Amino acid sequence: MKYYLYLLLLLSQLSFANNCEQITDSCATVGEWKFSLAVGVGVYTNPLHGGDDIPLVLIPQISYYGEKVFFESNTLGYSFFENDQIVVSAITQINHEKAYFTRWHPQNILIDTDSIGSSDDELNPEDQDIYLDIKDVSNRRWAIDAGIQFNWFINQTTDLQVQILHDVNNVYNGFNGQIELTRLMKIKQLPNTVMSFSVGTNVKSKNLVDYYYGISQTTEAGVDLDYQGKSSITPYFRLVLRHQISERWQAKLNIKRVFLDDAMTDSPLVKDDYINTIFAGVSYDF
Amino acid sequence: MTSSQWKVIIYMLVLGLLFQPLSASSTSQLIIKPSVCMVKKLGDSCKMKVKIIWQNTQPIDACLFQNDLRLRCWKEILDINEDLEISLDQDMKFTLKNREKILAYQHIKINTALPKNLRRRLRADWSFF
Repeated sequence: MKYYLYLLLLLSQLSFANNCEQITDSCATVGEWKFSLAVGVGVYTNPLHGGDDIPLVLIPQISYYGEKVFFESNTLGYSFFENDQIVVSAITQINHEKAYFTRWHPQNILIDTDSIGSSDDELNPEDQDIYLDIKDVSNRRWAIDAGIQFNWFINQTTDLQVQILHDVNNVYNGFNGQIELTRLMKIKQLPNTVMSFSVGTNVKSKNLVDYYYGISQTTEAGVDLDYQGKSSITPYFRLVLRHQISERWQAKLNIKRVFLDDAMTDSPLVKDDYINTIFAGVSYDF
Repeated sequence: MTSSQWKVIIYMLVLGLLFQPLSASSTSQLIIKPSVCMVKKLGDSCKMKVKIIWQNTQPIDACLFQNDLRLRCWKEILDINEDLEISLDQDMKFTLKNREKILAYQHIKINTALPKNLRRRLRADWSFF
């Protein structure tokens, strides 16, 4: 009887997990575009040799939630199954692997740095046969992924998200996936402050790792190295702290660290075994 | 029972009826307007200017409390008709007291703005980075 009551209590909590009765940071108004702009200081580190860290200064965010369609954080989706606990959506999004091969530094946008200096300047002479700069390899293409996303709202503060994706524009011809558990917490000592903590892992298929981080003497002109990519599992954690300053202003702190595994760090292109994202600033909701 | 005894009983009843309403209506209801504060979303704190109205038949010392927090006191007051700035982040009880005696009270509620059709967000904040 006692266990039955516990189960009943658990189910009663679950049945309200996906309810959105109030406008909160976890809920969106159906049919309204939301646009916000964050200003602050931050960096998205680049783990590749010769790759620039990506400065985070001005970050626009756009989201839209319709009855079925949604757009948020680079993801366009259509939810075809939805109940109080589970939402299943077909999604498409840009694969951000190519971002590490893109020259983001303002200097690289204004000046064609390919003709200035050489990647070898940054390397020890004895390392030259081990490491490769992104400038020395052929251009990687942007991939567009599509697949399925599952959201399981375990309760009002905890949710699990699973994505299984495949590229749709014949770039790497492989899969990638993500599993992420997020928990929202209110801080009693700091009113109007919400902390979101996520742990998760990215899973990348052999083809994806091979396309972006593999090296082949036959396809890379002038390179005498070979590296064949393997499937990869890269766990991560993310902490987002939001403090509501006024109706439209928020202070934000975002910290994320991705731990790269051997499948990636064994590549001659990869210099770090982590990717850090740090941002602190304020955002304004329009 | 004699007629004089009947007279005494009738006088007592009349006097009782005369004095009872006077003692019961010595204070009026506390009115705080508006009684609902609107916020954008649950958990937001609310600040608003309210009008406080109250009357008494005799001068009395009174203090207004927001839950246990004393907001304002008046001495030898017959009626209150004042504006006051209040701040709250949840439903609150406002009580007018004479020392420990509760003279009147009213609840102020917090409501969120128009609860339109809402749905859960499906991507974590800043999940792109």
